[in-house]
Amino acid sequence: MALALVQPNIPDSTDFAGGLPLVTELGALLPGGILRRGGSVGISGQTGQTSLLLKLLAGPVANGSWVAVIGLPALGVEAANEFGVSLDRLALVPDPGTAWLDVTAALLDAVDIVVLYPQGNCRPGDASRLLARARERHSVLVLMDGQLAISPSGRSALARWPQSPDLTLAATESSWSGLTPGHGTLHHCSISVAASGRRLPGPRRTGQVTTGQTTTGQATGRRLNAVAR
Amino acid sequence: MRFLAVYFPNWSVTAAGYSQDEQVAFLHAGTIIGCSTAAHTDGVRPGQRRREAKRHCPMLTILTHDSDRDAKAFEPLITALTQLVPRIEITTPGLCTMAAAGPSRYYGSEQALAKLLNEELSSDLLERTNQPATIRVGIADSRFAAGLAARHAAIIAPGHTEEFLAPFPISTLGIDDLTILSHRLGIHTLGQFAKLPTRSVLSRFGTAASAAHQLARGEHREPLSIHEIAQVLAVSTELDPPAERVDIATFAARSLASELIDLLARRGLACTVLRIDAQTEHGETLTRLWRASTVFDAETIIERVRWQLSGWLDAGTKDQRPTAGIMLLQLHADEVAGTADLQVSLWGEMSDTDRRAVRGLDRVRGLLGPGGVVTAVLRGGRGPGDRTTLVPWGEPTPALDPPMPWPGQVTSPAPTLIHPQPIPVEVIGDHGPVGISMRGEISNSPTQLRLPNRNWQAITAWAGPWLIDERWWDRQTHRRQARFQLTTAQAGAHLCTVQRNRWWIEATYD
Repeated sequence: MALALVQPNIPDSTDFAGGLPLVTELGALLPGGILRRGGSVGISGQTGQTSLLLKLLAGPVANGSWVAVIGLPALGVEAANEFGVSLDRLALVPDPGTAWLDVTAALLDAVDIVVLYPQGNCRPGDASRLLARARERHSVLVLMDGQLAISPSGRSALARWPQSPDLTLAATESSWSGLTPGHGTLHHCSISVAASGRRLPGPRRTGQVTTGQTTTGQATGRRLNAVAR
Repeated sequence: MRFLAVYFPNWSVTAAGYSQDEQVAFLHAGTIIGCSTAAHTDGVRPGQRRREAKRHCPMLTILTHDSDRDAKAFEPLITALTQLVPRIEITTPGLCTMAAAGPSRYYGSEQALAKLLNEELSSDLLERTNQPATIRVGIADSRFAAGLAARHAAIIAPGHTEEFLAPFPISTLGIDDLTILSHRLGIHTLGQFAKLPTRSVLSRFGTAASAAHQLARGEHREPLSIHEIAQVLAVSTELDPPAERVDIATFAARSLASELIDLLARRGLACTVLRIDAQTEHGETLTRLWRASTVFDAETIIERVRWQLSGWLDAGTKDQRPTAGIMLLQLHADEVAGTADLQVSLWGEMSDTDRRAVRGLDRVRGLLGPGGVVTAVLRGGRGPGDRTTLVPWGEPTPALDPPMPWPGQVTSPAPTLIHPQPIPVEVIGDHGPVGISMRGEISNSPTQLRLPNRNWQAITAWAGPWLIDERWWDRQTHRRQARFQLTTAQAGAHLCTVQRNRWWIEATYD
């Protein structure tokens, strides 16, 4: 059995007042700076949704939460590690097969955050049951759009999901720095994020998230400033 | 308490019909997993690859590892043993254990018991296979020590077990995390581990390590007996129509195994000794006790059912086989351990979050089968996908390359998406398609890119080529390609590979 290396004196992840801590950039977008347990989050964006997902996961995983990612065999695990998502607490189900809803439900029991790339259509009844399970177990279900600028796939998975998530994070624009024609290497990326949802008062909030190398040369995500109540 | 272990070194060799003097080795998943004494003398070792083993021993016969064959061949010996001693626990084909106190009193002394078992089994084996076989018997104060004593055919005097165990390495306990941790602390042998104060081991490393500490000190651990729990932890199923083939009966055992695991898990228990009862339509029964190396999970239970039934239904001679199909199958948890006792934590007790995750992931593994759930570990490598390895959940983490310099490795930051099938693209510049010369020079600057079935879009920035000329000495695996990073107007940033002037998107910085 693979076991986690748990850091000393780590608080059990229920300490953050019903929510999971987030990195500063995302914390600024959400009320209380936490990700509420028991709810659902949708992530979309033609470019940058994977980085946005990893930024979201970095906070909770550093705090001791486990996360499972279903249905994305292409996930760059080394990148996840650079973002601060410890590989000791990351479980992957690259190919869940036809029973992907059952697998999702079982993982909602096991871990704090389940990231799902829907493998097909979901009936409204099944979706409600999954959300009810997440509520009961105080886990978070993250639904990924999967519709990327380069992927030839059809309609957006998130658009096909029968219920809109409690919170939606959309990567609206992303721009990489470090390359010029013929010179350099990709250094860091700035992603514009728009947050909207049932519990967010007012118009949608926007912010910026930076990924890649920070100016001090360390990959982001390793420095975590959790915002907690 | 005294325990006796009967050990057949390199049992797979005997099971396959060879003698230890012949040069035989067994292959599993590409590496050598065991070999005969003669092969060992020539330098063949577990963990070697086929080619290396052949280099040590050119006349080596290499067979595929087949645990079913080993189990089937072992079954008649167990039958012979049960005539002499009532309760035998099978650990694995080739190793079984029993309590020694009763039988040694019955047969006179421990030495007499060991001699009797040795003679009876030798003659039984010689009769059936026409090969002399090595049988080793060991006796010690604990079951764990008896298994080790058997490898040396030693009877360890009462009270001297700790002394006997002292020189063995920590890895003998079979708990990977404890082995790693102990090495970091400078503890390499069971003797050194045993010298640590008991209270400190418990508070620092948890109950599993504390149990291992007891074993290292030669003490026998009293298991949580079923009677203490005052419950029958068993499941059974009727097969209708009765199963005459091993695979049909094993299939029925699948759901039964999960049922038992769940039944135990709900009470916070796991099974360490399993009793499998099989009964035919004509009332013939076969009962065997199986001891797990750590605990049983669904897969290992199903494996034991298959072993037991192949040894019976497919037995060599007609009088050893039953006269009808299997009608009833029962699984009993004969000995259990608390699941809380099973985790060694490196920094203290495991948090509830970790425990919940480990249990849940085990369950999902049961749903999807081995390899359905994986975790990742970092290792050395050059390309974007080469720097991590996926490890199926439930398997031990493989030994990894130490961090070494890999010239030409992709720089940080790592791409967030690595495409399992690289995406073919067309790349052109002002003077036509962009290619790389034999000397690694780009023919013209890339300005536009086209994905399959899409329109051309502008390339806003690019860098490269970073040339890779891997394994130039091996024609089969020689790879000559160039990598580029580029950003596009609407499709983000990518890592591209060019080989023979064809372009692919290998990874995306999404």
